[in-house]
Amino acid sequence: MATATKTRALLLGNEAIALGALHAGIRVATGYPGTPSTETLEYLAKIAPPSVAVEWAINEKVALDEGVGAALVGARTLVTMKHVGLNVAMDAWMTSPLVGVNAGLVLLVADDPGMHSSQNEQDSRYLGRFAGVPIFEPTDSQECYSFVRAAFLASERWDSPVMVRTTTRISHSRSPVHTEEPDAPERRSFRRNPGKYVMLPANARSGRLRFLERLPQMAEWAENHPFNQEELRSTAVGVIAGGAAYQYVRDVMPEASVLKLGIAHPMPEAKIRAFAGKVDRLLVVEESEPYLEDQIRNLGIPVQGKAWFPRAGELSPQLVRQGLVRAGVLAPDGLEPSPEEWPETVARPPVLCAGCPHATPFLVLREIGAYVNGDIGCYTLGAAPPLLAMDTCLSMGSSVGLAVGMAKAGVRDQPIVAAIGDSTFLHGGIPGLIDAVWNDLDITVLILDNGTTAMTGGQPHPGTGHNLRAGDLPRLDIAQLCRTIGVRSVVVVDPYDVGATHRALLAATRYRGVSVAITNRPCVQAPVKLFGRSYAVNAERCDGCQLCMNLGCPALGWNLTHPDRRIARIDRDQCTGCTVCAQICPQSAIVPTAAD
Amino acid sequence: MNDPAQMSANLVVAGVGGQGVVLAGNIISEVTLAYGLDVKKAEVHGMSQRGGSVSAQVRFGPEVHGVLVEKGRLDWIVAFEWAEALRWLPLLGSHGSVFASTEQVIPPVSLRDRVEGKVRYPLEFTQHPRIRAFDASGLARQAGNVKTAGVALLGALSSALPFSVEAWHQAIKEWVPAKAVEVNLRAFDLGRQWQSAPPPRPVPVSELVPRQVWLSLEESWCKGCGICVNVCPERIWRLNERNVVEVQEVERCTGCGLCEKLCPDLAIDVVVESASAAAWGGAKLWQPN
Ligand SMILES: Cc1ncc(C[n+]2csc(CCOP(=O)(O)OP(=O)(O)O)c2C)c(N)n1
Ligand code: SF4
Ligand code: SF4
Repeated sequence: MATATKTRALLLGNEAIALGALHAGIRVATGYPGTPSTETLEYLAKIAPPSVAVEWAINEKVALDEGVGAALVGARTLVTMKHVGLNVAMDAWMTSPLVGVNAGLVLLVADDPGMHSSQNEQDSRYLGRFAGVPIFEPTDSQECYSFVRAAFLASERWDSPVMVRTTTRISHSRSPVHTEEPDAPERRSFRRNPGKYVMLPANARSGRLRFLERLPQMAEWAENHPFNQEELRSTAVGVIAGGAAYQYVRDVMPEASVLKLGIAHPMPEAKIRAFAGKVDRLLVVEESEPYLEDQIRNLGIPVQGKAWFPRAGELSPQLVRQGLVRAGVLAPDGLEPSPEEWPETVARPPVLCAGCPHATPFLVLREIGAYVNGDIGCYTLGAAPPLLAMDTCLSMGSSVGLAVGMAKAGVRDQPIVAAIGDSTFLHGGIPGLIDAVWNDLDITVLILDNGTTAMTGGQPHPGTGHNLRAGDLPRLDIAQLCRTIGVRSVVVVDPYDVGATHRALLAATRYRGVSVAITNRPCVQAPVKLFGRSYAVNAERCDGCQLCMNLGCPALGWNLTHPDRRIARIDRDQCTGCTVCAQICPQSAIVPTAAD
Repeated sequence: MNDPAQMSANLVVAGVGGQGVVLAGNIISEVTLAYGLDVKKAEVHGMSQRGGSVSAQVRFGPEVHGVLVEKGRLDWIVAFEWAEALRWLPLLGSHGSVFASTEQVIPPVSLRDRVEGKVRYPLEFTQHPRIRAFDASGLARQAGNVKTAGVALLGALSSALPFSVEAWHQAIKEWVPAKAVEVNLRAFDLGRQWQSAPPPRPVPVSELVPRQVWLSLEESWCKGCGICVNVCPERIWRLNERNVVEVQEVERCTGCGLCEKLCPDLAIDVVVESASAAAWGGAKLWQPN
């Protein structure tokens, strides 16, 4: 057998980052879940020894603060988040380069061009450059591993946090990784230095000067850094690229000269000039924004990019090929897909799971006719057909503020509701609720407490009584928290009881002042898959009215063989036995199956 | 057959959440790695847990750069679900071929046409020399666990690739939880032995008889309680400024009769006329229960 012995491990980009950080000798890792960054901490929790603290933080801002604190006292630290998470952490992020780090502090920011699972697509490279920190941009799992290790060294060298920026295709792709000997960094300790660490204006002024002084030195370092690589091939065209775009260019136009930028900030100006001088035509291929392109043009170097490549969405090898062809540097290769006319398929948008506790509250809110400000989580699907019960959704925690704003603006014709998940409430909803109480406004906050951060795969939060690795922790009582804030009407309701949910939400929305209703059924997927006795449709009783189908439960479908109407049918394997459809069926046609 | 250590190819493994798509992609990648090849694999996570499509793109060869397969360069589709197989066909190269399970998972969006009861889902199995569709779940059941259907498909795929059975077995052992290794190896072997089968036949779907629905409202009897507004599954009633209900988009009425049944003031009349009105429920349907 020709199989060679295995010397390389197949790692997800995120796993490679985790391993790289571990081998860099981190002692602390924290973050807040968010696609596509989440697996990094989860993998670290599996592979790191107990001496490394690997736990989730309540939100990204707190995570970054924790990272700065840990780094200042001498622990190499990894902080992870998705692109929009950095917006939440922005305040700390912008000042942290002035404070410095002592031990290395690396921030993984995972962008999601194309919005596979996000509320926007934004290019984090701007935020790295805005803060004036080095940005490392790996192009595959191997580089994820080695770039993170180098990032820790750079962080200590420049006394600054360092950003490692990935995208979905880097974080969520698997490729082989060779590992190297782990580092054993010398243990640094905290030396008090309030002149540097306390951001009073006077100290911040000197911090800012230190920061401005190191920028040109950092630029020189980037000039000569091996991660910025010139690959000279045909001189007819030169492409500057980094991240996933670099790989697509290599696939689509192997003959092109490429200047691969593994460091997106600072930009190696001299290297770029030299490269531009060696090629007849200079192009930039980059995902999302014209970040490199604009800066290169500002250097007075003629360059093209977004004229040929889209700014919206994710790049793909097709788009890169099309762009290069349109730019006139690549001949069409004539390779066509199979000429057949294939049959059409059907879209498969995500849906709430069978038995998801979020369905009933939205069914009820729609009946009540409230203005529903939604939030970010599985329950955002309450906006999709057939529930169609959401009017707004902006960013994590925004629902409460939006509701407060509507109330301040004097909306009276319908009740105003904020519908927010437990994890999201703790992440960013609490200040909004305090504001509502403080201003004595007439809103209802519906907290959809399913005991987990379901959307991102079921991470714990302070209301769960455990963290990523630590168990038996204090469990935050959300109802008690709301009362303490000053909410006088707080009710906990079982969302599997349609009548009770209806009564509770009706009462809450009629209440004058701030009211809170909290649902209390766990997610059926995480942390454990829940199943009860499944339900079935009595074909004799069902008259095909389709009312149950308005729940959107994926276990409910049609009996396609019934000769003259589409009566309902329940997929026994999917039904979790939540009983909600049985409660709303006007014919009482939905009944429990015999116990197994 | 190609020299395995020089071979390059682009594959897509496609399916829906919970079918083991990502795992299957890992197994393929591990096999190619064992031959010293370079490999890149893209996974789509995100919404998979909530019933969305899941796919893994695997590219392997002596040198591989990007993780995504370019249109027209896809060599193999391994699909655990029929509609997901079709989704990737437009990327298939002119020599590419497909191993597809005849499993059909019909999503809720397929069932939106409530008036005519049409199912928006590719129920027919396309007959094409390069599409091999078979009952992988049947093989999996035969192996001892229906969840091994994906690995049975890998078995079928393996017969078309130059890698050794041992390499596949080894990769399965590496990626499958210890207690499930035996049954997965059995499923793999059954899939590998699979030769051909008579073309599968689609599930029968009844054609609904066209029917006509009349809705009538005695406005003066309506006191604006809004019950019909809330019960109508099609949500086509609404209260107007005069606090009387009215119908919008009457063409969406399926004639279910719920509003008539539940209106406390008997203000609504639903009349359904159909060639098979009797079979459709006839008078019985309209009586309060
Ligand atoms: C600032 C920010 N951080 C992280 C995320 C990723 N994310 C999306 S939804 C969600 C939390 C969902 O949890 P919860 O509110 O409890 O709702 P559930 O999904 O459990 O219903 C997270 C962390 C995000 N979209 N924005
Ligand atoms: S994962 Fe949990 S919260 Fe999300 S849709 Fe499924 S049951 Fe609902
Ligand atoms: S009881 Fe009804 S609503 Fe609940 S999971 Fe089963 S089919 Fe879906």
